[in-house]
Amino acid sequence: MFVAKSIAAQHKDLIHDVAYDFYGRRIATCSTDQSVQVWDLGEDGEWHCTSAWKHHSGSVWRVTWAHPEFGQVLASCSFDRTAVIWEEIVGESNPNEKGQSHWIKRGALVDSRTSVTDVKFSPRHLGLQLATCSADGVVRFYEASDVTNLATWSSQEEIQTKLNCSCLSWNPSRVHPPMIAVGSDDSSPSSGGKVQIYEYKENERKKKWHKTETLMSITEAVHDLAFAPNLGRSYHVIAVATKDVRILTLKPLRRDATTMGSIGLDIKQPAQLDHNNQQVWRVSWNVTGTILASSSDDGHVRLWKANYLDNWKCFQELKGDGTAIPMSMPNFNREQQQQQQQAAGNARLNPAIQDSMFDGRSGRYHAWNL
Amino acid sequence: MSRTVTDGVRGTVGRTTFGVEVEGSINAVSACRDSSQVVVAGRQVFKIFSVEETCFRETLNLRVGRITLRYSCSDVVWHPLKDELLATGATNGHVCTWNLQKHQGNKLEQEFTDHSRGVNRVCFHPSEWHILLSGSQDGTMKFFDLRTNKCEATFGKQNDSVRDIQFSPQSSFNFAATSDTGGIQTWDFRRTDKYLLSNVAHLGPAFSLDWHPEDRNLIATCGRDKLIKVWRLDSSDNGMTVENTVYCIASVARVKWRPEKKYYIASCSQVVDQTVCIWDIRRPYMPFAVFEEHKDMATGVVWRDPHVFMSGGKDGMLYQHIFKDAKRPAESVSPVGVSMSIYGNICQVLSKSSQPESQQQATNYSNTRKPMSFRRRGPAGVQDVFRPYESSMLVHNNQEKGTFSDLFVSCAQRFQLTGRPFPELCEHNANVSQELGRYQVAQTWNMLKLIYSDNPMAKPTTAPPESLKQTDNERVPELSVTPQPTDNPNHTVESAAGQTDDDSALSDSELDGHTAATLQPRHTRDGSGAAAADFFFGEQVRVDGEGEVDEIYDEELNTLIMDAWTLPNEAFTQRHEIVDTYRPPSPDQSQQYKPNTVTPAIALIDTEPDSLGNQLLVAPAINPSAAKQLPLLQLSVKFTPIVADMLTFYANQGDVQMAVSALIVLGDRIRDKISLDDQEQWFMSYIDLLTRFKLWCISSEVTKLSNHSNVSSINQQSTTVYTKCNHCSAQLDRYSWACQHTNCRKLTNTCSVCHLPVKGLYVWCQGCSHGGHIQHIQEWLQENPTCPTGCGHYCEYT
Repeated sequence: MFVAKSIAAQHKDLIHDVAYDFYGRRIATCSTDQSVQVWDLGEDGEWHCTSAWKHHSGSVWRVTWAHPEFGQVLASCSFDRTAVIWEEIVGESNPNEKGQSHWIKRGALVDSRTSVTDVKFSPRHLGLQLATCSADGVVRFYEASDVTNLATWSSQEEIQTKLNCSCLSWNPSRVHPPMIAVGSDDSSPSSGGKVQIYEYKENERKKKWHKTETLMSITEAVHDLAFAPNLGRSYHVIAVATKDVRILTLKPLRRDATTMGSIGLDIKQPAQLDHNNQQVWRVSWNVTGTILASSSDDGHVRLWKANYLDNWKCFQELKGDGTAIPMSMPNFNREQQQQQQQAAGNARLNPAIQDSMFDGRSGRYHAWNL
Repeated sequence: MSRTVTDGVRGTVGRTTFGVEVEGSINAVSACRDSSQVVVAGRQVFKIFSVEETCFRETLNLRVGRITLRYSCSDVVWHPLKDELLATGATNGHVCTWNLQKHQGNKLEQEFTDHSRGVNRVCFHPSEWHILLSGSQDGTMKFFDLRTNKCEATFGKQNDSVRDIQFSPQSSFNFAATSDTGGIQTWDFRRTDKYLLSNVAHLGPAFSLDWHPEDRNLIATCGRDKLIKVWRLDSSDNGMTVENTVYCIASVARVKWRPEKKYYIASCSQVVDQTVCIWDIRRPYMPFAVFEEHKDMATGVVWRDPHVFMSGGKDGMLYQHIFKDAKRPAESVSPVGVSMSIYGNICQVLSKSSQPESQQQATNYSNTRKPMSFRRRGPAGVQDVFRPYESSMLVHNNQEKGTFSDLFVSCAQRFQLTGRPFPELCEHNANVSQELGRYQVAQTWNMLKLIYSDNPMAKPTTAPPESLKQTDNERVPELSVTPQPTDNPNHTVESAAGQTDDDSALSDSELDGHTAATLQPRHTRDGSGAAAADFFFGEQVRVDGEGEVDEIYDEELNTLIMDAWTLPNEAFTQRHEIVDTYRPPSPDQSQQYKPNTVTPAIALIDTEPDSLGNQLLVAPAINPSAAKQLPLLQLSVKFTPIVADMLTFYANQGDVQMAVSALIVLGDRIRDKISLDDQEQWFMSYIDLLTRFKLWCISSEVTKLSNHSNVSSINQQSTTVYTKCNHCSAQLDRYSWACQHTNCRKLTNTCSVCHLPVKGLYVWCQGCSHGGHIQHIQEWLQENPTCPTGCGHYCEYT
């Protein structure tokens, strides 16, 4: 059950990206109107725009939060060929502004010759690193030389994907070698797979990013992709937004971080989720990597979840006007649910949907509670 | 599709994008009246091309004869009326006119040398053929009369370089100019002394301007400040106001209105951006169309018709661009966005135009199959309807009871991980899970309790004898509370099975003794003889009658229902014993009885949900494979890999909380069965989650309890306490109680009462930072309200 609340966004053109922070108490938005806005959840439960600033001179495509360990840090990337790192400073110099926060530009990454289409901070265990990708197909890696001084970012590596990149995602797993996936919105099917997987591995005594895989099954334009949070899985799950939503699992064939040569990935595609024939633009995982939200051309957000057989089903559709359509579930699930409720001795008539997540593979007690 | 950007010009038939390379970068392009020929000019190039169907064909190279600086053109313009006449402005300040009908090699007709510095722009009067205007770097604008062959008038002062100058296409006397300081001025060329209107248009140089082809009061200007501004001239109060502002990604070198399209304007950049952008001035942030052919900055744009234009660039290329080959950035950008918070709330942004009612509108338009011209001239044509591009933003709050975050936080806060005996911890956690509706987790806790505390063999090497006794003692009263007939066979069989298993699996004699000791009371209580006899007795129950079995189960269930939830262990024990009794004593018997034994087991499972809830059912539910193995479980030792599997399963399911909690509670029982990497990952993930929910204390506790070197080292990172001497402020290096500094050498923070260094508890007042031994301070404060040092502070110790 979702209750929608409309927020009066003050952007003057399309908003392209929205990002919750680590704690889920702040939202950053960015728009073609070249501005970035930060919204805070107030004591009253309302969202307030606490900062809005304009520095880019082109559409801002993406905005992303760094881990709060490094401070309140945002990165944005833009059509103006730059990615910019912002840090929030709580005003202390001017007594009138005490408690007022403002965001200042800490660093600018200006290496790209074309529009920077995505920027992502690395998972925390890799320190303060940043990857950007641009429309001319170059993925760039940067690292903050000093985490207390965000002004200097040293360029680590550039890789040529030879496709115009549209999105990238870091693999959050801490036990596997660093991995990113890059997607391309090149629309011609002839240019091959549109998702490439890169791993940071040692080769010839030098650690470099190497292409491990190209997902040949995806030849349509890819607009977004996201690795699922990995809390303890031995394999990786990635969601890809293209004409539909694809969910792929990548299982490292050999779990060894230091060996030379390539370690293959066993790639399976457990789900291909149709979005009513609409182009899918954005995907986002919940914190445990069990629920996927995807958003398509028509503005609808669909929520997907796997049952114990790894069958992905849409269990909720959120329309743009704030209403939600719960999806009907197969009958046996209803029966199961009733059984379960009886079984619970009416102690709790309404076991939440989240619990069925925990019950995942058990099957018998799996419930789509809606 | 609602998102397709339509302007109704896509069907330009038979025209293609093509280009030609000229020697040297192009500074300006201009086309003759019917656009059949185009002239390009630059420092190194001055050529005329005819525009063919699919290519440019070079017809004339004007850069012939003795090459002087007059050929270093910064601008060129074709006469709007006379197809044979051209004018150029040169970087040395000369303004030349060229007559293509001259028969000599050199087509130069007139040359004006009045400007002292480079000429930035030349321009013909739109209707009076003999009037030529020029704007120069020297700050002046000059009016040359082609009939008298001399400069007739000079406008402007000396201090502000003129960047662009253009005649108004409608009013015959007005022209406008922009300057290096960002100013825009309009002039009447009959008045040489003063401008008509003036304004500061841009920060930094205003590079170019263009009069609107239809609306005589509109001028577009552009400048280094990356803006294109559209000005409305208001003749009534002699002012000019900004109507639209377009935000470009780089400083803008040229602007040119698109003919017949009221709101569209082409721009090219001075730096950075090599594209030619066409903007809809009502959408100021995103270009309507982008042409990416040039490899260096485009410098000049000339329209052939609304759908075709030509451009020259610094890369020495002259292109004809067709609208249908343009990139439409608006089509490849995301109109939506979505993000999920850790609380399961969803923030959604979507283009307002993708909402239903406007979608309807868009479909209507794209379905019209009328001729282009029809639509354009219609009273409500497509281009006049402008839907502002805006996004709406929605936050969907997850109102579900018992969302993941709620459950996670409550479990994190209420689970007990240490400080009590193992069975109590399990039971507590099971109850917590039960209350929260997480039945499977509750069941798992119960299972763990059962496996590891009721069955001493499960951890033969680690469990100390005391705990065995304790668990055994716990069992005894329970058994006596429920003296059921069914207890007898089950219990004895279990013990028998346990013992046989023990015999086969373990060779440690001491342990054997233990198990024997713990089993003994049960045997006696059951009133049975040797273990082996019990075993057969247990079998005999089955052999005697199949109907009896069901009765027994029913009885069991009834008792359990009556006892409600007070005796879950009891129920559990039985469950396992039942399973275990099915272990056939010999192969032939197993064949005979297996069908019978399986059937009641299934029956039991099926009836359970009604009576017992899912509490009983976790064993088969955890893992299908494990469930199959369960009847054959040899008890004891083999539980551990299954439990390890189970924890892995939980972690795979995203419930790392359960995995970590169980890991901590089980401690050494399971630790070496799960790889350190996995453990580390689980701990780190769980700690990360805890911090996301701001459960700092729990996270720190988990870190402490992790017993994993990499994990527990987190608590030691990034925490440094610096101590300084309270006398000389030097840093204390080796000892905290005495200053090593050469000039100081005093004891730090001695007791304020006895003046001796304090070892152990040091209590101090936060107000005056004096303190000392706790007893001394207590004694002192019982008699005195103020600080013992005499500093006068009324100390408060809380």
